[in-house]
Order: sequence, then C-alpha cells, then structure tokens
Amino acid sequence: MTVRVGIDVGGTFTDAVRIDDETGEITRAKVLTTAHDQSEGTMAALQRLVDDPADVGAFHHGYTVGLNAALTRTGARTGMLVTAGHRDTMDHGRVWRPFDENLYDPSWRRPHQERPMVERRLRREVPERMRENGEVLLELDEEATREELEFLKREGVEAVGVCLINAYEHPAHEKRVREIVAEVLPDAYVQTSDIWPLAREFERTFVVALDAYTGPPVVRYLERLEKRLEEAGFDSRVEIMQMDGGLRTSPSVRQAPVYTLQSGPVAGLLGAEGYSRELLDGRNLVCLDIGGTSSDLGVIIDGAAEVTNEWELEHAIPLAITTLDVRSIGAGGGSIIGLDEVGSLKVGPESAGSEPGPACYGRGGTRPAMTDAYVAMGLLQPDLFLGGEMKLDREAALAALGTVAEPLKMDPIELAQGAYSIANVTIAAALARMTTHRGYDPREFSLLGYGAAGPVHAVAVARELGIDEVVIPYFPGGFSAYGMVASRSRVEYSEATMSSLEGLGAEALNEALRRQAARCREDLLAQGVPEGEIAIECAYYGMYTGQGEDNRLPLPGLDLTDEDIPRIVEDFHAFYDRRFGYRAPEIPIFVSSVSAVGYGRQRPMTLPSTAAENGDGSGVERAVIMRETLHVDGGSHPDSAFYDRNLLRDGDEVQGPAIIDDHLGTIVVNPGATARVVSHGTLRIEV
Amino acid sequence: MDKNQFFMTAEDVQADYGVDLITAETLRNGFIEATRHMHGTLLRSSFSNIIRDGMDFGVCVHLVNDDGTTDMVAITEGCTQFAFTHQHMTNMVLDEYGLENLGQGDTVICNDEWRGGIHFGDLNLFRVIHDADGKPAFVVSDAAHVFDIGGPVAGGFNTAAESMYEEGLRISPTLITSRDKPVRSMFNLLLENTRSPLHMLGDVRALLGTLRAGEDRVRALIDRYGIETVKGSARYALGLSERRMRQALLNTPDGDYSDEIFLDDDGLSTDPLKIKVEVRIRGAEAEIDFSGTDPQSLGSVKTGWQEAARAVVGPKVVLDPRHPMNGGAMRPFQVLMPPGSMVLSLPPASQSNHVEQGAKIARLMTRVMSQAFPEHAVADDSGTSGCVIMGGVDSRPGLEGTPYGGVLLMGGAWGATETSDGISFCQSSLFNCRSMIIEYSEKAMPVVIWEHGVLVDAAGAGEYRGGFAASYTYEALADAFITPIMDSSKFPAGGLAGGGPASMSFAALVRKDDRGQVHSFKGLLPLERMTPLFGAYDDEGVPDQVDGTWGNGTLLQTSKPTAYVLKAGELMRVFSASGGGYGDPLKRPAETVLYDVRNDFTTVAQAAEIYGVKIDPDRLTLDEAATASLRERLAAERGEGYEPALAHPREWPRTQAEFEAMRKRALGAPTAVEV
Repeated sequence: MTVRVGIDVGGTFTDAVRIDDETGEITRAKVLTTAHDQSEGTMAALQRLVDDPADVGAFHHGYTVGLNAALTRTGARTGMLVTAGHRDTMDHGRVWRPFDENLYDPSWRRPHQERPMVERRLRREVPERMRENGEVLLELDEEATREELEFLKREGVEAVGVCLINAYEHPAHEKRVREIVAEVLPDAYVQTSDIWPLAREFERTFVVALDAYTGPPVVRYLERLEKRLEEAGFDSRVEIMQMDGGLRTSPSVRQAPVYTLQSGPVAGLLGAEGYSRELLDGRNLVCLDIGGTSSDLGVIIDGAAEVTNEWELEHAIPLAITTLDVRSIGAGGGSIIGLDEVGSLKVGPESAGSEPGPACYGRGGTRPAMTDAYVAMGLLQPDLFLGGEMKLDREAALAALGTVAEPLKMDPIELAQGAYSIANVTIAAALARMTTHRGYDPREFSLLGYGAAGPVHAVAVARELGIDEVVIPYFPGGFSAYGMVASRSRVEYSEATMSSLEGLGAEALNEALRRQAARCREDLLAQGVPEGEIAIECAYYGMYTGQGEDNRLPLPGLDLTDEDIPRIVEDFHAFYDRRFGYRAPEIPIFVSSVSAVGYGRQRPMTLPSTAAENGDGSGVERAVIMRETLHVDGGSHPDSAFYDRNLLRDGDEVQGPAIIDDHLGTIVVNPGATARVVSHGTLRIEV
Repeated sequence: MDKNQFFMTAEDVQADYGVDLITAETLRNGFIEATRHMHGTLLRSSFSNIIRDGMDFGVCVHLVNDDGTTDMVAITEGCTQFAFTHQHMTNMVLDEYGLENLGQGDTVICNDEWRGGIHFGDLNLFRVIHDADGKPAFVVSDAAHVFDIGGPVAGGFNTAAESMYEEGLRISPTLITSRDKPVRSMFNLLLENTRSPLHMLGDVRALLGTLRAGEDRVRALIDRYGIETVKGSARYALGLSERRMRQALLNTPDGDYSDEIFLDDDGLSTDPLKIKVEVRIRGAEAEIDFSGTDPQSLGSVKTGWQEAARAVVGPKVVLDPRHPMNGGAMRPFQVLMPPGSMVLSLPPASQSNHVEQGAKIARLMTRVMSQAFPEHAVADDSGTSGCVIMGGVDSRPGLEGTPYGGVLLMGGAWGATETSDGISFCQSSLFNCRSMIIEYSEKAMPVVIWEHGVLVDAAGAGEYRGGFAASYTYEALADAFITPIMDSSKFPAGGLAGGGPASMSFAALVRKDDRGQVHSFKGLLPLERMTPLFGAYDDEGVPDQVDGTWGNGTLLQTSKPTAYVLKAGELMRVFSASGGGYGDPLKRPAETVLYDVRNDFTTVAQAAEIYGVKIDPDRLTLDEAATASLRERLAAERGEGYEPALAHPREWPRTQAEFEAMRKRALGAPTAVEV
C-alpha cells in the first residue's frame, strides 16, 4: 500500500493531503470543519481524496477537539486530588501579572481564577506530605482520601487528576491514591504525575489537570472517528499528531491525550523540517504561518524544529510537556487596525473574525482589518480571491481604512502601507524572540512562508530580520496537512535527577537514560513500530546550580563514560555563553531531569511533483494574468505583473514588484526582490 | 474640554520628531522589544531566588538628551516600582559619574538609595551606548534585588535598623567593567561583603550579560534606521506616554483631592505612621503634595526620595492602565515632600524595609485618583507585598553550614472596581513579583511549604468583592530567621460605593497533631493548635478584627519583627490583608454568591448576613423566595451610608473536633448543579 493521507482539522477548514509514494503525486482537499463532530469533516475530506479507504496505508490525523474543550471550558467534569494545603495552585498563577496590557489594569483577573477548568469545589485536598528527599512527613490518610472521592463521585465527575507535592520523585502516596480512585470511581478517567514526573508542582498540576479535563472528549472523538473509518472500510492504523511533532497510534493516545491538544501549527513545522532536509541542504529556517486571526511562528535548526516546555493555553495555564516550539501572536488577515485617543496606531490583537470579517468581505464589517489593507495596496485583487470564488469590495476596504486615516490626516492607502509595515515589524519582533534572543543570527536562516497570508508578509518580514532568502513551498495554504503526512512516531519519557552533573556521573546518567529508553522502546513496540526501526535520542535539562530555569540540551547517547562528562560540561558553558552572554565555569551544572526520545522510522519526504518541463527563464510572460498598480514599500508601482502560479515553470524568474497568485494564497514579491521557481514547485525569493 | 487636545496627526509627528508615524511606532515597539530580550536574559540566567523566581527586577532603555539628561524610553518590569524610579536614578547616577567619563564597554554600578536606588539590596547597573561619533546616545540599565548585601541581617530587610549603617554595603556610582573587562576590586568588594558570594557572582554576570543583550538590540536599531531617526522615535515614544497621561488628566475634573493612610508601625515602637497626600489637578497636570505626613520613623520603613516617583503608580492604575510605562508618563506630575518626613527621610536614615510604605503609597494614590475619576475608581488593595524573608544556615545532611535564604511570597489582593471583582493572589500594583516553585525551594532551603491558599469570607464585600486574603504556612527544618513583610495588620483596606472593608494581616505559630498533620480547611484551622503571633485577637485567642484587640495575647507587639527565630520543627502561618469591595453587596447576583459559597470562598453565614442571600447549609442550594424577602428587609434596615462589616471568617473552629465536624459537614453537601 502506497497511499498516505494527512488530515488536519483547523478552526475553519479541514485540510487534507494525499501522497502516492509510487508516483509522487500529491493531491489535496479542503472542506469546512464540522465543529459539532470533527470526524464528519474528516471523513468528508478523506472521501474527496480516495475512492476506497481500504487503499490508504497510512492515516495521519490532527484535530482541535482537546484545544477547543480547554479554550471554551467544555471539557470533562474533572476533580483534582492535591496535597492538603495546595488546593489553590491552579488559581494563584505564581501570583504575578503578565507585563503586557494587563500589568496595571485593576479589572484584570488571571484566566483560571476568572474561568476555571476545574472549579475550586472540585479541587480536593488529601492529607499527606512527602519531603523532597522522600521522607514521609505525613502518612497518607486513606480514609480521608476515600471521603474526598465519595464527594467527587456525588458531584458526578467524569475524570480525576492526582498531583501531590514531591510526587515527581517520590510517588508512593500518589500511586496509592490512584488505587483508591480505581476502587471508588472505577469508571473515571484518571491521570497522575506519571504523565510528567518532573519537579515544578505548578506546571505539573496543569499537565495533569489539562489531560484529565480534555482526555475524555478526545477519547470519545477517537472512538467516533474509528467507528466511521471502520464502517467505510479503512483497515490500517490511525496515527495521531502530537504537540511534540510525533505520531502516536490512536489506542496509545488514550494514555496521554493532552499530547494531542493542538496539531496544525506543529505539523507545519514538520513540513518545514522536511523541506530543510530534502531540498534546502539542512538550511536553518524561520517559519511564518499566517492565517485569519494569528501568526504561528517556528524555527528549524539543523533540520529539526526547536522544542520547548513553555507552551501556555492562556496566561498561567501552562502545558509543560515537550512540544515543538510554535509561538502564536495575534497578527493575521483579520487583525483590526485601530487608533488610540492621542493618535497611536495599533494592529491587532483584536480580530474581525469571520463574521463580519474584514470590510472588504462586504458582510457589514466597518472597522479596517489587515485584509482591507492588502486590498487597498493592490496585493489582493477583488477578482482573484480564493480562485474567484469570493469577490472583494475594494471601496468598502478604502472606506473602512478612511475611518482611521482621516483623523491622522493620512491617505487610506498610505495608512494601509503603514499597517502592513507595523504588522511586519510585530511579526519580526516575535521571530527575533525565537532567534536573536536565543543567540542565533537570523542572517544564517531562510524564511519559509506558508498559510493563506504568510507569503504576503514573507519578504518584508525577512528584510526586517536581515534574512536574505524567502522560500515558499508548493501548496502554502495546506502546508500543515502536508507536514502531517511526513511525520513519524515519537515518544518521550523523562526522569527527575535533581543533582549536579558531576555528582551523578556517567553511570547514574546511563541508568536513568536506559530506564527511560526502555520505556520508549516498549511503548513504540506496543504501537507496532518494528524493533529495527526504533531510534533513541537523549537530552537533559540543565542549569547552573542555584538557578531556577533549566535548558534542554542533547546528550550523546546511552553509553556515556566519565570521559564524556567534561565535553558535556564544556558544551553547556558554550551554550550558556551564546544564549545569556556569560559562563560560570566554577559553578557545578545541575541536571534537573533527563529524557529519552524514541522515534519510529523517518519516512522519505515526498516533495510535490509539479510542472514537469523546465522553463528557460525567458518566457515568464506566459504566466501573466493581469497588471495592476501595487502600493507597497512606500511607493506606487503601476502595471505590476500578476502571475498564475500554475503557469510558472521550473527555472522561471519573477522580478518584484509582482504578485504570484496561487488561487488559495497570494505571494508578494516586493520591489527589488527576485523569485525563482526551483524544483518541486518551490519558490526561492532573493529579498 | 477638548477631548482630543493631545491628538497628533501623522503630519504633526513628522514635524515634531522628524520621523514618519509608522517608523516612530515601529521603533517605539523596537525599544520595548529590546527590554523584552533583556528581561528574558536576566530571568533565565540569574541566581538569587528573588530575581529568578521572584522577578524582582527591571530592565530599561534610556535616551540621552542633548543636555546630557536621560529619559527612560522603555522598560520591562518584572517588579513595577523600577518603572517609576529608574527614570530618575539613571539621571542621578550619570550626572554624578559624568557621561563624558564613560566609554564603550564601561559599566557603572550603584545601589545607593540616596542616589536613586530603592534599598541597598537592589543592584543597579548602567551602560552607555555611543553613536558613530562617540557621543552618548542611549543608556541601558538594569536593577535587580540580590538576596544578600551584607549587614547584620541576612536578606537585607533589617526593619529594626535605626540608620543605614546597619543595612549592608553601600555603593556609590563605581565602575564594574572597564572596556568590558571586570574591575576586580569592585567584584572583590561585592563578593567579600555578602553571605552568598556564588549567587552574587552569578547575578552580577547575568546583569552584565543583560546589558550587553540590550545594547546589541539598540545598536541593531541604530544600524538599520540611523541615529537621528532612532532618537526622534525615542522622543516620540516618550511624548506619546506623556500625551496619554495628560489627556487622561484633562478628562479628570480640576480639583484638590486628599486622603491619608497609616502604616502599622516601624517595628521599634507600636505607633502608627501617617502618610498624607493632596493631589491638585489643574488641566493636564497635577501636583502631588505629601505635606502633613508624619516625621520619619526610627525603624527602616520610611524612604528617602522614592515616593516622588512611586506615587505615579496610582495615576497609572486609575488613568492609563493599558499602556506601557515610560518616563514620559511622569512628566505631568510635580511632587512636594516635606524633608524629615516618612517620604523624605534624611541621612543617615535606614530604608531597607521600604516595601510596605511603597505599597501604602500605591494604595493611597489609587484611592485619591479614584476620588478624582470615579468612573475608573478602584477599591483599596491589601497594601502589602505579602511576603516573608527567610534565611539561615542549613543543617541538612551534606549541606551543614551552608547559608541559605529566599523570599516566601503569598501575595495579597486587589480591590474591586465598578465592573469586576478584585484579583486574589496578587501583589500591590507597585511590585508584581512571582512566587517560588515549592519543589525547588524545598530542595534549596530547609523548609516545608504546607499551605498556600485563601481565607474564607476574607474579601471586602460588595456587588463586586475584593480579592481574598492569602494564607501561607511553612515549617522550618533548621532554625530560621524570619522577617515578615506584611503591613496592613491595623488599618483595613476600604471599600467603595457601598462596598465593604477588607480583612487585615495577622500571623500565628501552628502545631501539628500527633500524626504530623497540619489541619487546614478554607484557610481555617483549629484554634487550639494556633498561638497568636501578631494581629487582632479576642480574649480567647480567636482572630477577631471586628471586636478583638490588636496584640491581645500575641507573642509580638509588631507586625514587623526583624529576624524572628523560627526554630527547627516550628511552623508559622501568615495571612495577608485582602482587597476592598465595590458597590452594594445586596446587588451582587444571588447566583454569584452561591458560586462563592459552593466553592468555599464565602460561608452560608456571610452570604445571609452581608449579601442577603439564603442558602441551604447542607444542600448548598439557593432559596430564592427567602433571599428576595431577606434582601428587601436588609435594604430597608441598612438605609443610606451603610457599610458592610469588615471582612472576617464566620466560623473559626476552636477544637480539632469542631474542625473535623466542619470538614465533614462540607463533605456531606450533595451537588446542586446539573452535571
């Protein structure tokens, strides 16, 4: 079987990509997301791509079931059992306020205090206490535990999370509580610190709570989907995209559904990894995915996406599991262009949404959005939008822009260019946080632009960052689904070590890593990954002794010797110097935890096969579909060419200012930039 | 009144600053981004728990004006007080040291509160960025609270200090790097005068690395846009904040608004200390006059100059909360302070425990500005930083003799507004520090954190209630020195528009039972296991802030002991003050009161007595008919001018048996919601 399918459910659309491994042919489908049951849209997309689901050899899938449940607070009715005295961990948010708009605002309240997932009534305290060294300060009161569980039972909870202080290293009480939960609430969905057995009670409580809260709806969704697939004749494995960029088989997702909270933005980064590896000689990439309401940003270093443990659902609702590092900012096509009382301009984070949408949609929107700016600038042509399926109202866009431009005594088109520029700078600043702030030089990167509006801003953002090349993949609009097809199995297991590197020594590190590697292996084998295809990678979280923020760094393997230690130490100092501007050679390195990551086989990335014959670079005129004035980069450029991407051939060159129309996306080649069509329908733009 | 007197068109911006509006906005954000990078660097690379966990620091970019003065263009706060003080400190330090004496790669350090610092524990570093002609163009600065700066008390908060000579190392503006090379003599001075030299070394390195990161970001802007454009945009950023603040002042009626507030005491005597202010608003400016404030105290709870800057936090919260702070927002304000008073104490006055006066200034100024601008009024916050300094020498195996120390932060609460409840678990608007990770703290220090929660019924009542009192319980595993930083034990936060006053700070020692259990439910514990430490209690030892007496049967006669010895195996529980309510409690929706009762924030008794809401005590269901008639009766009885009772718990259990009964009863209540 050679057909692979990736289906990515997004907020508005469900994108699907089918790859035929024999012919290399790639086809895609886009259907509306079915919010009430995402499996309907998923099946509809599948049926567009294949006649008989039985032909599908690999089915890779991502959804937003868990994310939606968490954001809208419609997850399972969940009870939490915590160490007595720590019922308010989810509400205290470590006390601080974020230093953005809310810092001085007296009406601001912390999101979980304002809109709890687990309301305080259902957070119950268990008398027990472990010391950090494992000494039992207070024995678990089993009778009280039962009473609390009986209470939760009467409250009708569907899920129970257990997270006790210091259980990451000393889980005896927590394990016993879990047994009692099974006795009192045998049907409940249960999660414990086991899912993330690392120090930091605030973060761990939320990993447990988010899993308990979103687990049941995700599990129910998977059951519905599998039933539909089975009825349709599908008989292969369903593999689910996790936030760490790896796949898990559907049955194994049930152990930790929170890992699949969000998938689309992560899948885009996998596509980017593939492009970096297969087409761009391992070039480092910054990734810019712009949709309607947000920009999702990522970084690929040496062919791999960066990982983080700092993902947050909302402020002070962290999910500290390992995830691919995707940062979302509120800058997209729907971002509102606004003005304050003394004349300061602002773009986003407020969004026009899909109803009424930007003014140019003609659905009654009167406040200007970024898409209106694109229209005013001429980047979007009313007749070309969505392949002509939807006509845009340029006059409405100009009128909306006028409401902001007029008080400033600006021309609406001038304002549009200004808003475009501010959006570029905002996006560039967020990307700088992922590059410059981490000690990477953006000039050593290319910028990969995708999503509906990513290629509109790609060249301009690259220039802000000092990046000299932009890459636009084929299918920029459905790139996430494409990345999903390219994914592979991934599991990660971690163990708290909480000791200095020298104190641990090579043997203790090896033992911890081997324990976790064995769990990886066992997990992958259970998921059907053949033994011979399993690859293990190792990492540790380290900091200087006495610090509080650890850093994930690679370890060479499971067979460390004491001779390796000095090299690991030196690598740490070098990393630290690059990232934070100093090294502290006299201070021991503290290893808070080690991780083993198990991978399945990396499937070869199939790049799109397109437009077989090569152009000779001269006949690019054949692809021109119209000429219009573009107002961009502070000037007006009459008679700028609009090209139909499908008519471009490998080797063609397009000089900016120009637009390349991709039917479902618009690629802006800014003045002074040159786009070349290279193999596989990819555009490389010299900015 | 012209609503838009301070509006500038794009043409105005070009004419005044020589920069187009879009570029000016771009670079305004560029400066903020530079400080974001500095913030991330310092947070992740520092050592002291109070910096890396507590975020007690600020990082800034300043513009050098043609006359050699500087203006703070952007800051990322961490701790918000630096957003108000670093504008001035940078001027004081560079004026003395001389900008002309600082070359590329030179860094000046200063911690002197008489030269713009807040207390000696904060290290402040300054680095000048020169333009291509070698002229000073910008300054990057950072400020951070290191754990220990020497002196008699570990951790630096020597409340009982009578002069600055008892508060640790005092550093006048001095080079700490010369052409990017460390000045060894300065490092020696720092490392040899602190109890935690390794942390000090790490923190200073992090502070220096942070300034380099900031300089790189500002240089990148200059390289890209040119020096004149970047400087013009800095002036635009400052002007924008100024225009916003002036516009807000213009929208506030002219008038004289005044009030006063009290600190509990100075830790040496039991006398309350008054701070008085009158704010005179005229058009787009305001004069803040502290005349009538008490003479300076002996203990270290007063300050030298800082309130002249920190007072602006009140106008910021009430008038212009949603915009980033910079030096421009301070321009409309003039501050008058009487020499020799609490707010302008004279050398050699001690100031190390400046914190609680800062919190009181923030509350007072918020209250006065709320009078001036009732539409944006905010009820009183808890007026305390809600933390405890803990330090000592470790005795755990392998760590014997190792000095340790840190801040245990529980936070306080904010007051309610016309549209929202106040937040719980929050520091004063002047601080915004972060609580530590318990599991790391228990590794780093000989301490067990038994509890961090809120106290039932302890929020100022109202249509919108204040935030709740926080409680925090910790056990010392080795003898520890404890310095509570928790004022507001004698004078409650007030409510607004018919809302009620908040509960006050208090503390107690707690004994475990034979099993080793610390009983706690809804912030309450059996009184027979509690020994009053400070605060108001009745004759039987019940915490009673309505009818009890301050200091009655307590071990201490001040809320500000210095280095109180908590012996190994002893437990201390501290309760912070809470926030005031807003509006008539009878107007709070009954369903919302029920929610608070069901979630153990409010008792059935308080719901009836204050909110007029009848709730079945066992089933926790709302009795709508009884609520309607009760509310009608209470409304008639209360009449005009009614103020709800000070927020206080209704059901302290006296014995363990009573405690168990209370807990069991709460467990018995079946659900009353659809599931």
